[in-house]
Amino acid sequence: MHLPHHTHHNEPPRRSPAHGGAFRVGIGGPVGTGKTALVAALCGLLADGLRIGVVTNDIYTTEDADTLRRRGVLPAERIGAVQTGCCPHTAIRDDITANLDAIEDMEQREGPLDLVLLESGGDNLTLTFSTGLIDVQLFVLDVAGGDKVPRKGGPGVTRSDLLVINKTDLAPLVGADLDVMARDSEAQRGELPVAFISLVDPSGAQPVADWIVHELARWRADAVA
Amino acid sequence: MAAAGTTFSSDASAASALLLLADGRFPDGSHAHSFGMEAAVTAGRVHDPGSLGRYIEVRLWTTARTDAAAAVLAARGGDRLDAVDDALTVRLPSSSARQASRSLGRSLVRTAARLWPGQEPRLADGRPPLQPIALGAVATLSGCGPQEAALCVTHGAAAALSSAALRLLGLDPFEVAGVLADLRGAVAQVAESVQETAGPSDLPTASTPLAELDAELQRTIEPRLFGS
Repeated sequence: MHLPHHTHHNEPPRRSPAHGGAFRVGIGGPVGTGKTALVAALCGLLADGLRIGVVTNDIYTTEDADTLRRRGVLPAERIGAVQTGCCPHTAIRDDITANLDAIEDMEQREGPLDLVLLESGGDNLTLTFSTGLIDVQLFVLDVAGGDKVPRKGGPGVTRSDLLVINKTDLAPLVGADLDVMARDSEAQRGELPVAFISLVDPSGAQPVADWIVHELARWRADAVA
Repeated sequence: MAAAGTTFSSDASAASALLLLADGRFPDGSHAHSFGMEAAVTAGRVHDPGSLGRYIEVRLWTTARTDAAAAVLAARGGDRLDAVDDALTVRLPSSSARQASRSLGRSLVRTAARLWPGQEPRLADGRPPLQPIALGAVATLSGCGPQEAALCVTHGAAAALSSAALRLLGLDPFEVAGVLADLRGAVAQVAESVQETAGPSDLPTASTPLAELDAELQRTIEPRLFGS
């Protein structure tokens, strides 16, 4: 996967690593694209080397958090959930207090963490995380949702730090053209990276895990610089 | 107690401070709470604009009035926040309601710490105050007083309850706006009625069983959408 060094032109100021705490990765995207499966796979791939916490933002109660706990990808205490009152979008962008509370409570209870994965409730293409909440964000689409989705744009598609296009294994079954999705994504995103993955085997999340490790190292290096 | 119908004398800067705090876009954490409305809707107690208006009016004169009196004391600044917090705590029978109020107090403290660093309200042991008390203190920081603090509580209660009902029931937003417009008088009267609150022991004790039950029942709804 191509990993360009980000150039943050005209972007809002980022949370400084000097504030302490974990590197926070926002994971957003429409309903059913595989956000929870991706979080589970990432925990499996990264938990040996990093102390990870997960905060989910469900539409309904704690469904996603319960799924992750059942899969046993992390100690149950390091999986938290916040409720979002019908508006998952508000909780990650306009009023981030409940998520900040959840992250801080977990860090206080569990000790210092290296990485917090913050999964939004499934929303639409306008979903975007506040930079007051996360350090980098990835946006998850899936092939089965239609190969025209990247062309439709929206902040998740155009501005997320990594666009993940999941379920590539389904492309022949739903008549989706991955080349079209790649071309449209590049037209929308310029130099920003795109990862095509399939999670039929959880190791399919490796390109995303590699990207997170790369961004985490860069974030820490920025703190020293 | 001030006579009903008294109008507030409020200069433009106090009014602008009130607008800041009362704006639904102000990050105070409340968007994820229904304050028992989700349980009231699930139980069928609130099902249309009429039942919504009646439910809110009862809450205004009971739970919201007690909260507004606590906000007045915090905004006035004469009493220790701990004393007000203790007095309000014993007036919240539902542990769910206490927990939600503490959590929302924490949200307000977080926001205040960014807007007015070092001046955010805290109890002696460092905990955040309950929400109305934090709001009263934040009202002072923002440049308004006890009148605006009380109005912010009563208007906020009506707005939060109606917004939750709109989302849960898919009500006609024009009808919901009409419900809130009809409640303007009650919102003002309840806020006025607590301006003379003398101290923590003088906080109103009016309650309504369904409000406490709804706060508790909300936790048992599966799946639920709101934090309270």
